[in-house]
Amino acid sequence: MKQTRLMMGMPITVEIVDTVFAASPDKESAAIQAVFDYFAYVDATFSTYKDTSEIMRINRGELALDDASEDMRLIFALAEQTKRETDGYFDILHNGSYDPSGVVKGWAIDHAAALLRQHGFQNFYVDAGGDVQAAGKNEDGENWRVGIRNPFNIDQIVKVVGVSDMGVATSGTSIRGQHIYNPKNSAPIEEIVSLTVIGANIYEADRFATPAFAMGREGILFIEALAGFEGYMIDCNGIATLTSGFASYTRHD
Amino acid sequence: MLFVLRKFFVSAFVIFSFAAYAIHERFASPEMTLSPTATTGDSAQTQLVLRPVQTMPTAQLATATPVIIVPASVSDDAEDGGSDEEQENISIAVATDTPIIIPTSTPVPPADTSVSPTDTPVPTATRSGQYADGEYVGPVTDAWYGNMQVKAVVQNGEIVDVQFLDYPHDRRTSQRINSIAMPYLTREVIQAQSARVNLISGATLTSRAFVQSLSAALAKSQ
Repeated sequence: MKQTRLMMGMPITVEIVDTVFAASPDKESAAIQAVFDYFAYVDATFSTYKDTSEIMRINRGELALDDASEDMRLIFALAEQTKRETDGYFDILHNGSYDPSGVVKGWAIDHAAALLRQHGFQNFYVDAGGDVQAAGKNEDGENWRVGIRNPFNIDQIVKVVGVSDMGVATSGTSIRGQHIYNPKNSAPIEEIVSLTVIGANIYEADRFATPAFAMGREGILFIEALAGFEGYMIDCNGIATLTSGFASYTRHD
Repeated sequence: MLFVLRKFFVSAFVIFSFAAYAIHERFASPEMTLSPTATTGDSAQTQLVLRPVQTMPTAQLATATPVIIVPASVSDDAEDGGSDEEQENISIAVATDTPIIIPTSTPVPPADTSVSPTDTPVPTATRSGQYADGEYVGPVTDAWYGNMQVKAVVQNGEIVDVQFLDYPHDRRTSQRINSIAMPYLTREVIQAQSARVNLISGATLTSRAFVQSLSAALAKSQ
């Protein structure tokens, strides 16, 4: 069963292919609904587009971080840790207000996957706007086949990777509209158009994809140096650079 | 007299040759090396014949041969004088032993087929979804350097496919490969793949224009 909703400003898709519960589509429906409910909670808590969200109350000074919810304090701690690990290239503070979406998204997808496991499912994926946690195998019993979108022609894919129980995150310019800035000098990233990171889970892959993209050409070297991560970077000339272990995931069939 | 005349012609020949070489290097260098083939343009167009816009010729990106780019040297001061022209040269070494050989004959638009197969088993239980069944076309929205328009397909109350009717598809043409060499990482020219996929990773779907057009399309179904 596969369902898509437009939430948090992006399409979120959940697909479950477990056969154990095949006789009970209601069970799949219930689990997928629980995932969407969870994303609704995340959106209500962390969206900087909703005045009523907890993060906006913090940004307006109405709520101190010490008094914030457990999830909020956790996210701030994770953001701080990521900032340290990326030498400041990751920062949730922009123009005096906090926008933790760079860690929230991967963290939420990871939690959604855990939620599906709690419901007894093992073979599924959760895809939020192109960031993916893939669990188990696909319908054909092989690793989930994740295509990397061509940043110059969005009808095409330029690479296929096979993953199981891993996360795949792509950071990039959204169709020529720059949306990632170098936090150190506020300059838009123009030379690199797309950076895909494969990691042990989507939280880890996503939190490193954003700052690595902000590093420009150096980003792929940052991923190369991270143990357990592989990356695929596409520059403005359509030239891709692969980390040394990336080819072990690529599929040609 | 004959000697003077010969000297004149030899000099003119040398000057002309140098100028021609400089012009060739200036205009032909990166673009030519990146688009050596024009094999996939036709097939890409016929596949996208239902679309109201032309797709970018895939030939610009596609080539069957993985290459290793070795930037010759940094050329920040390329505008300072004509003598720097040669420094912008890019040497390309074809990695013949690389096993990545992918047929380019049939680049399949994956967004239409693989992501949301129409034969996906749909729950028979009449679960009332969020949206009414049908196909909904969103408005054209501004995606910075061009327009974005999407179509949402709803079956049994759920979104089963999102198709792109229009999107910005011309890329910056004359950016040059420059500076930092990464000799120990493999590089390749990206190219369309025809392999099947379960899902797609990419930053596209979070863009403001995409979400605007899709939201408006779905609003029609509610």
